[in-house]
Order: sequence, then C-alpha cells, then structure tokens
Amino acid sequence: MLLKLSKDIVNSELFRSVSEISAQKIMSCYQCGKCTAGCPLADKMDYVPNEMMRLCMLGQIEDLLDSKAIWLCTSCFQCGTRCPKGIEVHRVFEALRSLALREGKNYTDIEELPKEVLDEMPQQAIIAGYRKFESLE
Amino acid sequence: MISYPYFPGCALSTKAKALDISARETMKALGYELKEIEDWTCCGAVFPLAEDEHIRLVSPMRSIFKAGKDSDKLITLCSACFNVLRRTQRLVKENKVRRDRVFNYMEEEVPENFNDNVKVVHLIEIIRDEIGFDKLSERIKKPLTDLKVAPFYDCLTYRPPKEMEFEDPENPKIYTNLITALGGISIDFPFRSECCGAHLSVSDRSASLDCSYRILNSARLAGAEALLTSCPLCHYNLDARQQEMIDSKVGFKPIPVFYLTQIIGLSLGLDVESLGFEKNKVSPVNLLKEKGLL
Repeated sequence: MLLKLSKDIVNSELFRSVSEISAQKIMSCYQCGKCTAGCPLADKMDYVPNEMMRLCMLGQIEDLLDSKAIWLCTSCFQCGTRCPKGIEVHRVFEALRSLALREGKNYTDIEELPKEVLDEMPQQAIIAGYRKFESLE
Repeated sequence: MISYPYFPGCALSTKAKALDISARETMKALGYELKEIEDWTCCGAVFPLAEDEHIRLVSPMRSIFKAGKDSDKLITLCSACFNVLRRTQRLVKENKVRRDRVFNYMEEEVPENFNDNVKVVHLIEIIRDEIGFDKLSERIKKPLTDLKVAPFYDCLTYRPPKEMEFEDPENPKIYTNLITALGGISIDFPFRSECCGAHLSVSDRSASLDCSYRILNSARLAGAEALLTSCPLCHYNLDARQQEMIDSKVGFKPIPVFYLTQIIGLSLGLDVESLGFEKNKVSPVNLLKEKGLL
C-alpha cells in the first residue's frame, strides 16, 4: 500500500474531527496490537484494529472511511478494555463510522433485509444496525 | 414483598418474552415485585459513543427520571438496556457539560427535584447483593444436579469495565457462582466472554454466524450440555441461528441456550409455563427430562 505523507495530510481536518468526535488521544497508541489480538472480527477485516489506529495517526482517514473494517466492528468494547494506553479504541471506530455516515456513505440497504429476519431479530440489533445506514431524513 | 421500578425494554416485551416472564415470576418467588415503569420509551439500544451526540441520551434519561420518582434503583435485565441506562446515568451525573446539553434538550421534562442517585441495577446484582447466592441455594427446590451449563458473558453487561463496574472484564465469575449455587456444574470455556457477532446479524450475517459458532463449539468441546446468557441478542445469535449452523457447519450439533432467569426459575421449582421453554428455538426439554428436572 502506497501512503502519501505530508504535514498537511497527517494534521488534516479529518484527523482533528476523528480526535474530537472520539475524544481520544489517538497519537498515544504505541502499536502493541492488543486491540487486534482481542478483536473477535479481526480475521474478517481489511484493516485490523491496530492498523486502523496507525493509519489514523498517519492521517489516512479517507482510506479508513472506505474500509469494510469500520462496519464490521460490533462495539463489543474488547479493544478499549484491553488497551494498555487507555485509548477507547471503539470510540475511534465510532468516530470513523459517524464521519462516513455524515458524508452520506451507506453500508447496508435496509430494503435488502429479508422480512423473516427482521421479524425474528431483537429490536436492539435492528437499531444498532440502523446506525450503519445514512441517517434517514 | 419489595418493589423496584423495572425497565423491561423492547426486546423483552416482544421477541424475548421468555426472559421477561421468567424474570417476573422468579423475582416474585424470591419476594420481589418488578414494577414496570409507566410509559417507558426505548433506551436507544446503543450507547452513543461519539462525543458530539447528545440527543441519544434523552430517551434513556426519561426512564431514569421516571424511576427516580419513587426509588433509588432501576432494575433492568436486557444487557443492551443495562449498558445504555447505566452509562447514561453515570455520564449525566458526572459530566457537567454533557448534562447541561441533555437537560437543554429535555427542558420541562427535567423534574424539579430529580433524584441524581438512581442506580441502574442488573437483576442478577439484586440476587447476588441483596439476596445472596448462599441464601438462594437454600431456597432451591430442584438442584441442577449433573447439569453442565456454560456461562456466557455478554459483552454489554460488563464492558467497558470502568463505566459498567459490574465484573472483572478478564475473568468474570458471577454466572459461574450462580450456576454452582443452583447445584449445577459450571463449565468454563475459552470463548465465554467473546462477542457473539451482535448486530452484524443485520448487515453481515455470515460474519456473525461464525462468531456464534465459535462460541457454541468451544462450549461443547469443554463439555457443556447447555449455555446461559441474559442478553436477547446473544440469545438470538446463539439459539435461533443454530439451524443455519446445522445447515452450513459440518458436524455441528445443536445445544440449548438458557436465559438466566429460566434456569433460576426452574431450580426454584416454578411452574414450567412461566419459564417459556417453548420459545427457545433449540428446545431444552429433552435435556431437562434426561436430568430429571422436568
């Protein structure tokens, strides 16, 4: 993967948005990888959690907004629970998802969900899943 | 009879009725009345993790205000409701800036002398801390002798640990102690605190199926005959989706998944109709008959 790095990219407005929305000190990550080791979905992600943190630090936010990984996060909070630096990694991912949704990037089309699935599934799943759709206005 | 305000939540009122009915009956048998709060609204299901999302705290705050009218406790059982309500109460109490924002949204909905110390409590905490597992075991009529149950700890009840203050996040023991108190054999297994795939069953069904399969398989390999959980979504993933596992995973054998209060109610000798076993997709009836519990 080819990364373009410059002071402007690393300190971009998008990076500042992620820091503000998540309220986390992203730069204090020292890449130990405990978040990835504990992540139950890491094997299915295009970027694993510690890679996402590293890409954030390098200002590659646009790449992350297009990744599949941010949508595979279930917010089980394992990453943040285990982080030795006290970063709530799950909040960083939520910030990325929020930014993507605010830019109008959808992940799932609710119309495509089979009715029998919606009928059976507990409401909490459907509501949590809704947070992966662009806000309906 | 001690009465506490109770927040059932959407799932327990509809799709996870077995959890609600068995909880009410179990608590009645233990001398507690779960008094459903009036006109409760959905808790929001997901605690807003973004620092700039305030509106999502309004709905859970409404229920907390209602509970605070005549109690300093709010009992809930669904792990998503528990997670959202407990974290909201804590955040609004401790963070002045967020509190002002939320109260500005709510305006006259904020009671004049509201109770700032309403503690959001999980039903199992009442059993552990007010009744005590030792006292519970004195009251059981049908000990779960020889029944090997694997406790499954749903993420939302105890993570993030600093906000939830429920259990040791790396080595939770509460359900293990419960199963032992009920006379059963608790089976520890490596995936006991792993995510079941949660709401990915909406957007990435095969990814969440893999997560749930790993958990069930790990429990079975450790020798479990059934699992135990208190989360309606974990229950959906672990129980209702087993047919898909039978169809797609070679050698998979179904395993019953109990709701927390089904198993407490059973050992307290409650009427089987109040336990809702017929609502479990993988029926535990044969297993329970085999063990002489039905």
